[in-house]
Amino acid sequence: MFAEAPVTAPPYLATLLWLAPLPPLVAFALIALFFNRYRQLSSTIAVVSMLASTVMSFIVFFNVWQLKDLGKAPIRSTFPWLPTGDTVLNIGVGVDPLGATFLFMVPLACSLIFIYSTGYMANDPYYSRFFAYLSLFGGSMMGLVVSDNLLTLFIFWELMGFCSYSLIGFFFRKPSAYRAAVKAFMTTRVGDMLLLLGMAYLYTQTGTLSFHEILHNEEVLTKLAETPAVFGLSAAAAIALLIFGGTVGKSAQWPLHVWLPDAMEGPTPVSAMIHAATMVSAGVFMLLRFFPLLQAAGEHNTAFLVVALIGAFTAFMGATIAVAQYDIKRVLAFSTISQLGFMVAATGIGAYVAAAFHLLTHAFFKALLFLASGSVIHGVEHGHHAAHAHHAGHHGHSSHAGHEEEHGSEHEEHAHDHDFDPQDMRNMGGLARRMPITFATFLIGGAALAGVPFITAGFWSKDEIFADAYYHGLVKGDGLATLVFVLLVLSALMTAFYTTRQIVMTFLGEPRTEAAAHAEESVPSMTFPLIVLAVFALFIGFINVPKDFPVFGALVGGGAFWLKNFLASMLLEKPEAPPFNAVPVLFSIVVALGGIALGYMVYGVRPLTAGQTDPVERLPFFKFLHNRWYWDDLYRAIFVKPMQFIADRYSEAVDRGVIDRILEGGYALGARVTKGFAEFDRVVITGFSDAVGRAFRAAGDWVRDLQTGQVQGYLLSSLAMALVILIVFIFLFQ
Amino acid sequence: MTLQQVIFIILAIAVIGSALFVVTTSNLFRGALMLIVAFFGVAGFYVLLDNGLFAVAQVMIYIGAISILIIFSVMLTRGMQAMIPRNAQAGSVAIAAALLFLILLLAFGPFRLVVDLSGVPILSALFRTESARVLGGVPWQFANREVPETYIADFGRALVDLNQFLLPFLLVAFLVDAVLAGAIYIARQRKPAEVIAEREAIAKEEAEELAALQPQPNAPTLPQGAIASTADH
Amino acid sequence: MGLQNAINGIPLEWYLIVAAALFSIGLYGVLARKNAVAMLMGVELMLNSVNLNLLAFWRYLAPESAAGLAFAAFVFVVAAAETAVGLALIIAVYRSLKSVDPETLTQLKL
Repeated sequence: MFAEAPVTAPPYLATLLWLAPLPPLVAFALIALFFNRYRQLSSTIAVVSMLASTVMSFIVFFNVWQLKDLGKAPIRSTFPWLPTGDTVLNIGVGVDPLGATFLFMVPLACSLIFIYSTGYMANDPYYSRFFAYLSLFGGSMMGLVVSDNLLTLFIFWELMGFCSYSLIGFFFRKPSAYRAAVKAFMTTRVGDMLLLLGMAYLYTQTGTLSFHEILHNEEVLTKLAETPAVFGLSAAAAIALLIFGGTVGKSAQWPLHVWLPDAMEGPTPVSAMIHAATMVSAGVFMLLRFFPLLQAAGEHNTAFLVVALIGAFTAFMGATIAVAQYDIKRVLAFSTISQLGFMVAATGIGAYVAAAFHLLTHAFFKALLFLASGSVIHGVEHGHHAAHAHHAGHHGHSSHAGHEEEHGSEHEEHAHDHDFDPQDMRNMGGLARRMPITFATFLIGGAALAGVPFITAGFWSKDEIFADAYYHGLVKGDGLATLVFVLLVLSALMTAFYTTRQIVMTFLGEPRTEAAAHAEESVPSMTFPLIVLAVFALFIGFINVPKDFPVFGALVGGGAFWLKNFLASMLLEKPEAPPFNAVPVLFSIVVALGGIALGYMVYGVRPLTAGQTDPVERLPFFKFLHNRWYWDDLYRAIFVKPMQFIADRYSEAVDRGVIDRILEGGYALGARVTKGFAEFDRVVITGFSDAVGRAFRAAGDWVRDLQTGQVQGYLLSSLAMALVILIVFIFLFQ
Repeated sequence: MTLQQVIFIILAIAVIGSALFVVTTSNLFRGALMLIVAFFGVAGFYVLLDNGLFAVAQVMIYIGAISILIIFSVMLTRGMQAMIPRNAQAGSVAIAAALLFLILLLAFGPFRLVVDLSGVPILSALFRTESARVLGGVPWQFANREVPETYIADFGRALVDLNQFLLPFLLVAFLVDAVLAGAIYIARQRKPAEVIAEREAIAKEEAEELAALQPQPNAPTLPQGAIASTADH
Repeated sequence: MGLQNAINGIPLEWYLIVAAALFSIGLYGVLARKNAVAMLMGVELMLNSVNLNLLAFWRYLAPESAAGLAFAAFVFVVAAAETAVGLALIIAVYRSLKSVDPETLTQLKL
C-alpha cells in the first residue's frame, strides 16, 4: 500500500492545477449569463463542473500523496503578473502536502453538497441562481487551495466572502436573512482588513508573497524574526498576528464569531458549504500555511500565546452555548465555532499536524451533520404540511402538492409559517422511525463529533490534539498548554453532551408534534451524499493513527502517521512529536463516553414529551448561555447602535440648518448614546460608556458634514487629500 | 528665439486661453467651440513633437468625434442658454487647482529649488529631513535621438505583438464594443407607454417589498420559552 | 539651439508646464461647473494634458519605444468611450429629471 519506491510526479500536474478551479467558475458564468432560465440545465452544469474539478484534483492528489519531499519542492507554476518598482509580483498555482490534502477534501465535499442541493432546493423559484452562486463558491475555494501565494489566496478569499453574502441572504425577502448576510459580510470584513495589512507588511518586508519562498526559506524567516516591529513583537510575530486576524474573521473565532450562527439563515446546503468544506476551513487553512512564521517568531512568543488563548476560549465558549440552543442548525453552528477553536488552539500550542488532521476530519463529519439536519428540516416541513393539509380537511396525504407550494412560497412570503419552526428541536422527536437513513447518518456524524472511541474519525483527530496539549502542558510543564488542555477537555465533554442531547431530542422518544409524526424520508439525491459522507466520517481518521497506539497502530501497519509524514516536509523545523501516552487517550475516551452517558441520562432515559420543559433550562446560567453570552447584544450596544444613530442623525441633518442641527443633535445624540449604553451597562459593566460615547459623538459630528451626496464635493475632498499626499511625498520625502 | 519656440508659445497661449474660456463661460455652446480650438492646439504640439500620426488622430478623434458629440449634447440639453457658470465650491476648487499647478511647476519645472528643512524645529523632526531636498530640474535621461523613420510601423506591430500590447489592445476593442451597445441602450428614446409600464412595475415591486418588511406575528405555540431567532436582533 | 537637450529648441519642461496648466484647468472644470456636459469637457482637457505629457516623454526620453505611443492611443480610445457613455447618461438623466446639474443628482443617497 505504501510503496517505498521513489515516486515522481508527472509533468502535467501543474496544468491540472491551473485547470482544477476552472470548471465551477466557468459554470458560474454560464449559468449566470446564459442558462438562468433553465433550472434542470443549471443544476446539471454545476454538478458536472464540480465533478470535473474533483476528478482533476484527485488525479493530482493520487500522484503526489506518496511523495516524501513534496513540501521541500512543491509542484508550482508561476508567471510574473505585476511589476512593482524593483520587484515583480509573481502569481501562480502550486501544490504542497497541505494543499494536496485539501485538494482531496474540498472538491469531494463540495460535489456531495452540490448533489444534495439538487434535491434540497428542488422547489425553490431561484434554483438556477442558487447553483450559480454555489459554483462560484466551490470554484473560489478550489482556487484558494491551489494558490501558491497570498495575493491570489486573498482574491479567492474575498470572492468567497461575496458568495457567502449572497447565499446567506439567499431568501432575500426575509429580513432576518438579509440582515444575517450583511452581518456576516461586515464582520468578516474586520478580519480581512487585518489580513490585508498583514499582507502589505509581509510584502514590504520580503518583496514576495509566495508561500514557498517565504515560509520554506530559513533566511527570510530568520530575517523576519529578527526585524523588530511594534509592541516588542518581531516582524514575524506581527505579520502572523495580522494574518491570524483574517482567520479570526473567516473561521469565526472570538471576538468575531457572531456572524456564523446567523449565517444559518441561508439554505442548509450553504451552511454545509460555509461550515465544513469552504469558508471556515479557509481561515484555519491559511493559519496553518503561516505556521512556519509563528514558529520562526520563537517558541513562547506572543503570537503563539494569542492564537492558543483565542482558540481555547472559543472552543470552550462555543461548546457552552451549543448546550443551550434549540434550533437544530444553531447547535451545529456553535459546535462548528467550538471545533474551529480546537484547531486554532492546537495551532497555538504548536500541534501543526493535529490541527490539520482535525480540520480534515471535521470537514467531513460537519458537512454530514449539516446535510443530515437539512434532511431533518426538510422532512419536518414536509410532515408539517402533510399534517396541516390533513387537518384542513384536504384529502389525506396530499403532501406533495402542499410541500411544493410551501417551498415555492419561501421567497414570496418571507417565512413559511409564522407559528411553526421546523428547525426547533422541541418540535421534533421520534424521527428515527420516520427517517431511518437520515437517523443512521446523523448518528454517525454525531458520534464523530462527540469523539466516540476508535470507530470514528473525530476521535483520532481530537485525541491527537489532546496528546499534543498534554505532552506540552503536563509532561513538559508549559502553563499555556496545560490551560489549553483543560479547556479543550471540558469542551469535549460538553460536545459529547450536546450532541447526545441533539440526537435524542430529534430522533428518539415520541413525536412531539403532528409535523414530526408525519415527517418523511428525503429523496435519494439527498440521502446518497449523506451515506458517502458517513463513510468518510467513520474511516478518514485512519490516515493518521499514532504508530504505537495499542492494537490500531499495528492494524494499519505502515500506514500509521501517514498525514504526519506527508505534512512533515512542510516545515523546516519539525515540532517535537509527543511519544504515545495513555493518559490523554484515556481522557478523550472518558470525556466522550462520559458526555454521551450524561446526555443519555438526562434526555434518553425519559425522553421529552410535548410541552415539557427542557432540563437544561433549569441550569442557573441557562439564559446567559441561550443568549450566547450576550456578545451580540454587547456589539449591538457599542458598535451598531452608535453607527445607526450617526446615520440617522445625518439623514436628518441634511435637511436642516447647520446650527440648528448641531444644537439639537447634540442633545438627542447624548440621549440616544446613553440609551444604547444603558443596555450595555446592564449586560456587562459600567465605566467605558462616557468616554466611548464622547468619542462617537465627536466622530459623528465630524462625519455628518462630509456626506453630502454631491459628487463634486467628494471629488474636491479627494483632490485635497491628493494634494496633501503630493506635498508630503514630493517636498519632504522625494 | 527659433521659429519653433515662437510657434510653441503661440500654441501654448491658444490652448491655455481657450481652455480657461471653456471652464468659465456661461454659454456652453461657445465653450464647446473653444474646446475645439484647445484640441487643435494640442494637435499642434504633437506636430512639434515630430508625431504626425497622433496629430492626425487627435484631429480625427477629438475634433471629429468627441467635440461633435459634445456639441450635440449641449444642444440636446439646452446648454446653449445662459447658465450659472460655477457652483458653490468654485472658489476653493480654484485655489486647490492653482495649488496643484504650483506643486507640479515646482516639482517638475525647469527651476532648481533647494528646500532645507533640517533647521526648522518641528518639520525636521516630523519628516526626518536630515538633508536638503532638491526640487525641479529633474535630471531626465534624455535619449537625444531622432524619431525612427519607421515609428508608425513599429507602433502598429507593438499593438498586435503578444509580448507587448496585444492583450490591452483586445481589451480596449472589447470596451469600445460594449460602450457602443451601452451608449445606445442608455440614451435610446423610449415610448411613453413603455416608460409608464416600467415605472409601475418598479412601484409594485417596492410596495411588495414594503409589505414583506412589515412585522409579522411570530409567537411560538409549542413549549413556551425563548426560541432563538435572528429576527429579534 | 542654445538649450541642451532641447528638441527644435524647446526644452521638455515647457511641455510639462503647459500640460500641468491644462490639467489644473480641466480639474477646475470638473469640480466647479454646474453642468454635467461642462464637467465632461473638463475631463477631456485633463485627458489631453495626460496625452501631451505621454507624447512629450516619448519624444524626449524614448523615441524608439512604442510604449508611450501605445498608452497615448489607449487614452484616446478610453476618452472616446467615456465621452460616449457619459453623454448618453447625461441625456438619459436629462430626459427624466430635466436637469443636468450634478448637484441635483442625489437619488442614490438615502
